[in-house]
Amino acid sequence: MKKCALILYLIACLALTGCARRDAPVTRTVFAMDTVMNLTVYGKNGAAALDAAEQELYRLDAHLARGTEGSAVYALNRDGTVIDRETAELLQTSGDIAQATGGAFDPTVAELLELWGFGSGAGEHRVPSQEEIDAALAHAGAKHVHIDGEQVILDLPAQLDLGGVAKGCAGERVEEILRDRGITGAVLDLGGDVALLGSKGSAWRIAVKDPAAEGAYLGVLETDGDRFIMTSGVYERYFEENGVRYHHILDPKTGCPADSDLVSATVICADGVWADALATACCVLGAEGSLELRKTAVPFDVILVTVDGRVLYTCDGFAPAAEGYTYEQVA
Amino acid sequence: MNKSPDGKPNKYDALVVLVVLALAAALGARVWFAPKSPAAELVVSVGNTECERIPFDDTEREYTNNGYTVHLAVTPDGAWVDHADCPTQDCVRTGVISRPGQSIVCLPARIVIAVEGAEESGWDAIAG
Ligand SMILES: [Zn+2]
Repeated sequence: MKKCALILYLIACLALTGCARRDAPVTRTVFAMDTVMNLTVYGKNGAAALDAAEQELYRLDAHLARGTEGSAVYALNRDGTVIDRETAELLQTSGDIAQATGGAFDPTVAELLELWGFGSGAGEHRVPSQEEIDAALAHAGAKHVHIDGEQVILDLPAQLDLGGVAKGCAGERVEEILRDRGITGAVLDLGGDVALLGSKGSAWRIAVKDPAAEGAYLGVLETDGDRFIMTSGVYERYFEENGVRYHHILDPKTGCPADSDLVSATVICADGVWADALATACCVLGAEGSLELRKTAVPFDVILVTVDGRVLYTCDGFAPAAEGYTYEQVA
Repeated sequence: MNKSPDGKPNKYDALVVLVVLALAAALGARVWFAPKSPAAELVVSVGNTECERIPFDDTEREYTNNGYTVHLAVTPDGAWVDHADCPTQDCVRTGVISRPGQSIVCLPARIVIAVEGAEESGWDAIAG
């Protein structure tokens, strides 16, 4: 009898307190990689873990930035060689992605970016001449990057830009650091690119921005942890000249802004570097090419927004929410 | 479930069940019918720390950080940076924000002005 009452009482306690006490999440804002990042961690010792994560973001920012004197990429672009395990590994993966995407992603577009004024310097935006583009194209290409253990050799005058994989790499590294410190769940908003680590007890819910309307959302993605949700869009950076809009996602084949049927591509993938680079590659390849790429590259999902107002998505956890789009779940 | 010696729940068991149910109902009601928190407000972060929360009323604010000054205008309909001395001027170009989830960022000054809704957004992050 008494036992019965006790059990009922315990059940009631559990029900009323929400089953289990969790440590409250801790958040941190970090200004790095030309954006503002928000890190939220669940688990014990969150603040200490965030300190380490913040430092790592500053370090990587300096390490991967082409314009930072003393960075590995700066040295590589100047000397054509560098010995650095981290850079070698990142460029190995970049090379694999360049190959898997048929060159739609290319880490050697630095010179082209500079030509168009999308580079790291405060260069003026302008439309370069075809001669300038051809000259830059002549020494671009992932084939000019050679890796031998920890050594990287770059065939100058090819110039590297790791902007297309920096955030993916940062997400991977920060997750590693958080995991080492016992963090069991974290959501890293790296300026619109999201990395999800582990679990917070329930599914993660990520709102996906409508590229056409500030403050509106295409829908909400419900997903497990250990995923990266990286987006590239032609709306992010652009300039106009003589009434024509030129955006910052360059097609490595033409040296000009990608002219595909996509406004934006969101890639969901277990690997941060791949997710980051694939988002760019999808924008270059277009809807059909992106869906084709899913059959040959690492496993990944997409949410694609086309110029004619369609949203094509391949993931089950995505719930459409915006008006004015035609939604299509595709294979 | 344990049973009383005769195998049937007695009056006391029923009472415990009733008390527990009543308690649960009362607490549930407190959650469901809680007064709504105030409307959306602006959350201003300077550097890494939140520095103030401003309701959407007619007011002006000036924030200086990292060597740059950002001037914020607020009305009941929205908020915007009307001028700033940062080199990029992205904060000025962002224009008016009013809906939860929208924000103005001045990277050079390391200032974030975000709209936070009265209710929880229901998601963990915004992608894109
Ligand atoms: Zn500014």
